[in-house]
Amino acid sequence: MNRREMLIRMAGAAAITAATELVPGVSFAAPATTDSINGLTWKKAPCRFCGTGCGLLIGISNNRAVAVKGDPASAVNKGLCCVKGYHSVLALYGADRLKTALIRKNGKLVPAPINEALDLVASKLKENIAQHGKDSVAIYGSGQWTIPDGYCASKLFKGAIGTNNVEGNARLCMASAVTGFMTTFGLDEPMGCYEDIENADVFILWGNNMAEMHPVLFSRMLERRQQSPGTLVVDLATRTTRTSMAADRSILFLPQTDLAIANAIAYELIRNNWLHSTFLQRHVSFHAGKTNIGYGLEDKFAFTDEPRTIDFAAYKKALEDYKPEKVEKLSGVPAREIRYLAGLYGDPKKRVVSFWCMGMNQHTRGTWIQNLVYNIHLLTGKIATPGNSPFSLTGQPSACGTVREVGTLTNRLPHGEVTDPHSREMAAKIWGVPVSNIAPKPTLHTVEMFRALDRGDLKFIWIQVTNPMVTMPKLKRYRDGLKKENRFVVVSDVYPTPTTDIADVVLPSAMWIEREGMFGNSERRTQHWEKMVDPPGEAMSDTWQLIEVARRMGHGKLFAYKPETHIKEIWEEYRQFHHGPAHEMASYDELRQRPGIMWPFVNGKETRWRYNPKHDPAAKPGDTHHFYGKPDQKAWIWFRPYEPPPEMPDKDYPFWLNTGRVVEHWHTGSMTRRIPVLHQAMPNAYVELHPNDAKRFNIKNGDSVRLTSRRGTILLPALIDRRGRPPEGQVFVPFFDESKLINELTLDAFCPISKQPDYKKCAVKVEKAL
Amino acid sequence: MKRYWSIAIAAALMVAAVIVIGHAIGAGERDARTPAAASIERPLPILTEAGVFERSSKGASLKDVKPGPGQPERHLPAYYARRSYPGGPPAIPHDLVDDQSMGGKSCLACHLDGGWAPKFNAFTPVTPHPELINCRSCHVHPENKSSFQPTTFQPAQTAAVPKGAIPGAPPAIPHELDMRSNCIACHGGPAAPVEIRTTHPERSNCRQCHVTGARPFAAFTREGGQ
Ligand code: SF4
Repeated sequence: MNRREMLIRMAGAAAITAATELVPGVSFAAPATTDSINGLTWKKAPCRFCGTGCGLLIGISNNRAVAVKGDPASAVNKGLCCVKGYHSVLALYGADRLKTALIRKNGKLVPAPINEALDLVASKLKENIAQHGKDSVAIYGSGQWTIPDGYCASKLFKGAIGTNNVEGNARLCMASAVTGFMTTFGLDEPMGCYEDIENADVFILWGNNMAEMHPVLFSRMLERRQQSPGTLVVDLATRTTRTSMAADRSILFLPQTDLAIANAIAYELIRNNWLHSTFLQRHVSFHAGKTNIGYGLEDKFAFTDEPRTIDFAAYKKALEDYKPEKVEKLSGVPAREIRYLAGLYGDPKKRVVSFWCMGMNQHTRGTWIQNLVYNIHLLTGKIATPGNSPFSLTGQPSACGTVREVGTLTNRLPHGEVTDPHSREMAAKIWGVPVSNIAPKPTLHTVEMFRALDRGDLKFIWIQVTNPMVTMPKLKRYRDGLKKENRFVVVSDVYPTPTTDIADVVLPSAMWIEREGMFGNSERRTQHWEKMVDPPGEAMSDTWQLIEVARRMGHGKLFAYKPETHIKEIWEEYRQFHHGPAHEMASYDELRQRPGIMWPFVNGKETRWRYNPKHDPAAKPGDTHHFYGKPDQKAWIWFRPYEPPPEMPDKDYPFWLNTGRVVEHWHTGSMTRRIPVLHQAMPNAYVELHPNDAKRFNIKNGDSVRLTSRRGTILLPALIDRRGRPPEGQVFVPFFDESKLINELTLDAFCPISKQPDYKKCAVKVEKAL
Repeated sequence: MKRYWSIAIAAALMVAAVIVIGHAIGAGERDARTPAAASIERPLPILTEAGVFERSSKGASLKDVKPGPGQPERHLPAYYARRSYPGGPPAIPHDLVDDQSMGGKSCLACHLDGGWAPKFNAFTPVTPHPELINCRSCHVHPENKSSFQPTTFQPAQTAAVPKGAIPGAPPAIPHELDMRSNCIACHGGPAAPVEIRTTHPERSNCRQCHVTGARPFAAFTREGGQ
């Protein structure tokens, strides 16, 4: 293979983006529309699945989606997809698509006209509000909600009804990323963008199996390494995966000890004086918070941090506990490997990207570990310039767009926190409701929402685009809770799932390209797609379901959108929340035309590096950086200690259990398992063991294994040295399989700051099933 | 028409300027302590054109390579059966050599250059995009033929193998070129399905004769003609 072959695919993006820089607003990419061969029409859409947000072209023929290709005009993926993206359109055509509403009558779900179902939803909402107050009803949505879905949900529940009982499954997926950004920078979402990949010399992956979970970005990183020999990929993980195979170096650490490792790296940076001292002086302040902060295992657990400002000397002193030799004992990572990592971060000649996702997010100290990795980038000044980037990847296609930016979390509004009077006033004004409607206190975060249903404090929940009866940790408690008398459960989905099984009303949803919408991906890129095919039967978009229910509740004036133009009207209304140089969004018309636009989008120009005055219109010129999110105009270095997880292997439950995804399946598999090629490639969940453990228990590949935790037990076939290999004393199980529910075993402990549960660590017992 | 030319030229100049200035911008904004890595020449690729000449040097060596006696040939139905729709990434029809390794170390050992694989009693198909090495992010291996729920998906029609417009004329290309612009990978050599195997792999500039076809463009009319 010659050099040209290797270069050719990757070269486009840099030049195109450079071109956009020079001539803002002009798209240099090929128009991605209706070129047609064999009678197909190709239309652009972001991928339905992961947070990478690849641009796809969907082949449409006779009102059906029949083919997919990568959009060469998309700056994200430049024409390449992963196997889920290539087969995404098959997800529309499972034979058991929900085409009508279902209402539970005499204990059984029976088909009903959708209008009857919407009437019932509205009347149950009104009834419960009248009898038990507005905080007795809730909506639980998703990072797969489109932006208009989430916006209407927030407007209806927070604006019209007046309850902050609005959450999204992104609480289970990136809440720690948000609190990490907020505590360190005062503003959410990454400062960099995917173009950091083409500019970096070193990639450090913190507990992140990118080869399977963000495959297109992973390929982009490998291509960078091919182009630029000497580029290093270091896999720092608790388990050996496909990512480790591709990495230049694989370093395994014991669960939870990433906290200590990050501190040891900081210790080494200071000891060797590998610091960027002018950057530190001008742009960084030092802080510490509460310790021994708990795990949220008990109902109504509450936590408020008490930040205090410290100085560099105090920070340095606190790190004395994290000498590499000491951390070696805790983490299992040799001190020389820790020094090696510090050397990479500390080398002034190397531009470093840190990538992470669920490993750091689903963590009982999730906020802390984000703070600690930012510390490393701040100590070395390696941030917000091309190729120097602490990069929090997001899991879902619109966790950023819909949950973080629209603010579909109990504590958020489309702009700011509910506790902030100015943010409430802004919302009241744009929504056209009295400011007294908007409650000033957060109510229930996701785990507590399901606990409240179990307790009976919450009577009504409307679940859209998510499948909590597969994904909630410590599942049995929450399933039993939802099944109790006097709980009314509405589920909007596209296929029958364990969640629709326990619903009182099921609303059939129009999915993805069956309606118009927008998603926002990991790099602050908003992507629009138009409706391409008709939804089946009476299926209706989640946005329109919300509007119909709002009208039936008497809030028609607030939702006076027209069927043909409602997405445009909603977008233009929503975008007012983000007006200003720090968050300006593109107009509807611009979004329609281009394959995705990064915010802040000011004067027709995307912002690739925030806090960098050369790129960011909100940053004050005159210096290399301006961290304008915090009151002191600085980025905050936090001292955060190592604290152990709430449950660790012991005599009775001697193994660590880790859970996660596989490349073939999206989340709970409700869509991807209906795609024949993906189902056949990964037909069922399994338990992955280390070969030595397998030998010890006399377990062979395919043997049935019983896993038991303090909360439940399941049987799984063993898989040894196939997809991955956990270290001895650890097992891994994917969560996509609704007939092998690993969340029966997991623990509902969460990060006290972000309230995000930890799905990566609990203790189990392993037995060969006979 | 003239107008389009001037736009095209302006665009070309702009892109050239962009590359030069882009480099300058990039160099200027790096952390002052970080010297620029060796700059890389970045030709502007046109994705559907980029691969036309790749492997063309191999074409000549394929000229007389034909399956020998007892060496089965591939046919189009088998080729399409591996894909969910024409242009979709094919599934892997054989056991994996090593479930854990990256493609660069396993898949490409055979699929880079192809050749006879006695273990599978088949000629190895050649990948049109060897620069992508995370092979199994797109190509998966079916464990079994089970079904979770049946599907009603109907794939795009497979293209008929085209004939020339008049006897002897070169047939037009009936498929999309994204990820498949490298003609010789699929159409040259003994692993190419019989129906679409070229008789003349040594002629490297395929698209000097074979144009992309079957586009339902409006009929050609002259603007302002009499
Ligand atoms: S990498 Fe993610 S966004 Fe891209 S095609 Fe795959 S699932 Fe879709």
